[in-house]
Amino acid sequence: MLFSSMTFVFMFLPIVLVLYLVTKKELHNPILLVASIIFYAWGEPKYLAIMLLTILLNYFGAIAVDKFKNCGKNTKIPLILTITANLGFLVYFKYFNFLIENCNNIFHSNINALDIVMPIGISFYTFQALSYVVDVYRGECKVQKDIYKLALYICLFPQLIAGPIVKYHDVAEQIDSREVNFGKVNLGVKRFIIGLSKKMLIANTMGAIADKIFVQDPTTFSHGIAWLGSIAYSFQLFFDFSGYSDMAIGLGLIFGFKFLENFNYPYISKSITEFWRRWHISLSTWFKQYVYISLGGNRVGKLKNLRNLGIVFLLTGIWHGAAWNFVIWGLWHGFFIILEKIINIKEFEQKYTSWWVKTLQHIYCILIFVIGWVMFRADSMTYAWKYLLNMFGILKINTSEILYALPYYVDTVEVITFVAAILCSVPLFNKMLDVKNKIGKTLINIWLLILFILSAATIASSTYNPFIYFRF
Amino acid sequence: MLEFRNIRRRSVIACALTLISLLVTSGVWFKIKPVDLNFKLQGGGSAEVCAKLLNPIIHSKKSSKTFDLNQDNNIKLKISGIRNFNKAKIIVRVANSGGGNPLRLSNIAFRDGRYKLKNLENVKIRGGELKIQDNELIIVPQTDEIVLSFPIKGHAKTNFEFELFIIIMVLSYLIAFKIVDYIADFKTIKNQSRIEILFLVIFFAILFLPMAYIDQGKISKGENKTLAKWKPLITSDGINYNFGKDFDNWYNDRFFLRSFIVKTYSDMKYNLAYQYYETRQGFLNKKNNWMNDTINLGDSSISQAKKDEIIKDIRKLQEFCNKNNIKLYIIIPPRKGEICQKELYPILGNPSKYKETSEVIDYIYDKTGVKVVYPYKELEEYHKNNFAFFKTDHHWTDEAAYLGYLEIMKQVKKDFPNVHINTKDDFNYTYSKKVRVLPKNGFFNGITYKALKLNDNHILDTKYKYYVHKNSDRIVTNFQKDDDNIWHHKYFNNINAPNMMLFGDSFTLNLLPSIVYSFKNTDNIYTYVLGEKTKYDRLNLKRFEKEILENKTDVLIICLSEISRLGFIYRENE
Repeated sequence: MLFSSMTFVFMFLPIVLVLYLVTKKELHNPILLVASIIFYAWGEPKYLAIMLLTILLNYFGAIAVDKFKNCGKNTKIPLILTITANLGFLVYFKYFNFLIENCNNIFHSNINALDIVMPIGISFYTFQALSYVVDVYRGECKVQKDIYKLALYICLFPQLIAGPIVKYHDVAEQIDSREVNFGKVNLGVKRFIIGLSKKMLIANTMGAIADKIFVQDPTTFSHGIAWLGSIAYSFQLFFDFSGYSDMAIGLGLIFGFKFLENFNYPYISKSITEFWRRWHISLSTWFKQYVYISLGGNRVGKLKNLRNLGIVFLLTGIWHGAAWNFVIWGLWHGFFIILEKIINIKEFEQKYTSWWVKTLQHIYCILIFVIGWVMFRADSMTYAWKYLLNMFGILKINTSEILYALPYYVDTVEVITFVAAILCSVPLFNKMLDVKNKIGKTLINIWLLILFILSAATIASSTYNPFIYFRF
Repeated sequence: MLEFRNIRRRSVIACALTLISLLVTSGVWFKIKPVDLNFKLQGGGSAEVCAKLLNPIIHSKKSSKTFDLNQDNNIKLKISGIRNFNKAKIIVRVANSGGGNPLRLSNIAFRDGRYKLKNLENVKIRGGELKIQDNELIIVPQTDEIVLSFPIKGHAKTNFEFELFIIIMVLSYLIAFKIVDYIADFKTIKNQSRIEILFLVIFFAILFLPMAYIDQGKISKGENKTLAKWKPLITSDGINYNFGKDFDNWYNDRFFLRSFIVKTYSDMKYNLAYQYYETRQGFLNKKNNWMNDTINLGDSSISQAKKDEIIKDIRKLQEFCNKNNIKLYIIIPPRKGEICQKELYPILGNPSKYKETSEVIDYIYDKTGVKVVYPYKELEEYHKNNFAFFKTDHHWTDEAAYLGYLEIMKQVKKDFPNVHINTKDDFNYTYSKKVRVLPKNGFFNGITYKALKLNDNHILDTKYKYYVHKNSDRIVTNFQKDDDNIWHHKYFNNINAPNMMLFGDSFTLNLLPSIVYSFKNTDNIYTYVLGEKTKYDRLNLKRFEKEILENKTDVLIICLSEISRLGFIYRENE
């Protein structure tokens, strides 16, 4: 089920909310579990089996790890087995055909691709499940003996299919006991509305501009339009994904959970290192905690440390999709992270504090991530390359071949949305929900209700509009 | 323990919410039965009859039905959606009528004769002339649509479901009290601000609103679409694994206030657009009111594989024609986007497909010897001072189609020297701001206008010239849809000329006012082309071979508005 569908917002959510809020605490977890299963099975019921298998696998895997630990046996055996099985599912459903395609290319073989459809959200729930087993292995949390509670952790619907990736040690206690109160519900509803508006009003409008441009051959639009497309896509991606995270965090609050923030105004970053501290925080901390640290982190020599960073960003790229442009996108970011590590960006920032250096840093960072998003959006690296050549004026464009001029892409609504996107991607309104005076509160509440009605009208008037991160 | 004062206050709010709930569910416990309307209508052909009841505040829903007046003269309609009424409207749309024959209307009665229209003098008419004779209304139609209105006082039967009323009232009160109590406790316990409580109450009310009523209708008239049907989870074939998607479609189409929300949203988008208003279906240049459909933008570039398919199909068709001594002609009308570039794309661009289409035409000539007629230059020149296309529709006008007719007839004349090419003097002309594509189907606002869901008559700002042949009474027509929903428009012309079949998409229709007068019998097989599957299903001349031979066809004209569609015309194995 999609957060941005009529069924979710105007049927599933109110029914689940009423059931949850009017029933006793003891029934909260069962209600959420049943709701989560319905939520997942709604679009593709057959893939529920994969998720249920993941639950079983990790339930028994963690128990085995715990038992081996208590008996003084080598806990690595059940851990590696569980991780391999988890990754096995992920590799099969997400990367198998990609591997076959590459094998065929390298060895000139003719292996047929399999008819595999990737279960929605598999990358997210697999990583959540892995976090649980590793946490048990590391002794950061107790093994969960109640399978229903573990099932709830893995398939909790607010963050099930597009994150944030909640680490088990962050919510273990909340699954056992949490408080639902007016303040949380109120704040949760507001976060939900903000997220929904980000998706429906900003991301979709920006997406429409980007789609119009990226669907064309890069030789049929001007350099300016190429920039417009890449910037529009950058905004689409941010508001789409952070909108989903806001909705997930908001829903979590309504149900009494407190999930960690997933975005912190990434587009104001002055370096790629800072960008990754602000973008998809749950994924970068996951890789940090479960891959980077396991590889030795920064406690190893400088070269090995740089290698570890390279591996993490290669994996980050691969996690996003089974295509070479995602791999190259990951390496692209990894390259600049390593570069910043070599020049020691922290020291650099402390040394040069003038405004123009900061401005240049911003420009550098924006350039890197915008170029990265072009690779991310393009259907192939060939297309991405041509697109980038156009952006930087290297690709020769014959003006008679240009299909559409600017007004085709941008009219009043798009201009207003562009301005809104710029304003909302910097921390201008971050204290909005903390306003204490009555007039301010009233105005903000009215504004949020207007946003909710507008978003609802957009949902009602549009058809299928999935979140971008669903495909990961 | 709660104080009594608090309980009283909460009860009052719960009562108010109960009242709202009763109002929202009034359709369940207080049913207004439809009002029967009966009258007698005599005349020729078929007629669509609509009826509506009104009072100063509300209008009933429109009830309409099509009747074949040759077989059934007793008109029965059920009008719902109104309790008290003091005025009625009857709208008669005459299609395929007996050439303007008068209609006779009598015995108008509502609710099984309880309310009868006695004083016929009070009846007002629009779209025709009205006489009263022997207690009958004699109507001479002047347009396709005749509107009769008259005062009549009455009320519909009602049915009060007492048990349901009590159940809804009590349950609503209990639920409302619980909700109020719950929210109030937040206030009492946590000392939350009333502003926040109000905010949450409104949010939850909005969440529940779309579920308040589910539209049970079959179609959405405003959007001109069929509403998704309910498909259960468990069917006779087993489990419906698509239930989620089916439910989404069903709910998306039927939730409460949908039409209002969709309309308000598109109105808002329309008003906000500065120059370029766009929906999924089309776009409008607000500066000059020119519009076009997005699905009718024309060919994308034509690959070599596509060209080969075209050649293969034309060769097959040529073979069939040569074998049966039939002359084959092909005409490709240019698309609106190509000819009206200045009006549609002054700000947008969109290069002409002329060069590419011309190259494909040359390729066809090289490979098959068939000279495809492509009246691009003629239309381009004509459009400089006239209208080759409708502003609110993607079709060519009668004027442009006449130019196309002249070009194709130049080819025909080479093989049939005696064939008569109609000159402009052979026609009378009428003018209208509305669009007409098929001569017999009347005028409308235009397909693009409809697709964009526009409701602004100021957009209809141009008068178009329509061709009516001076010998139009010489022709007998027969329009029929076959089992595959394909139209066969037959024209029988009693002159000494070849028989012709005109096969193609909707661009064939505007050729009819001129082309049918040059041939003896014309059979126009018109099929609209949407989507790949439909292309394969419909555009296959193999299935019409028998009909072509039965008609003793001498001339076969293919008219398709995209050259790539020639690659779908002949599919031997399907």
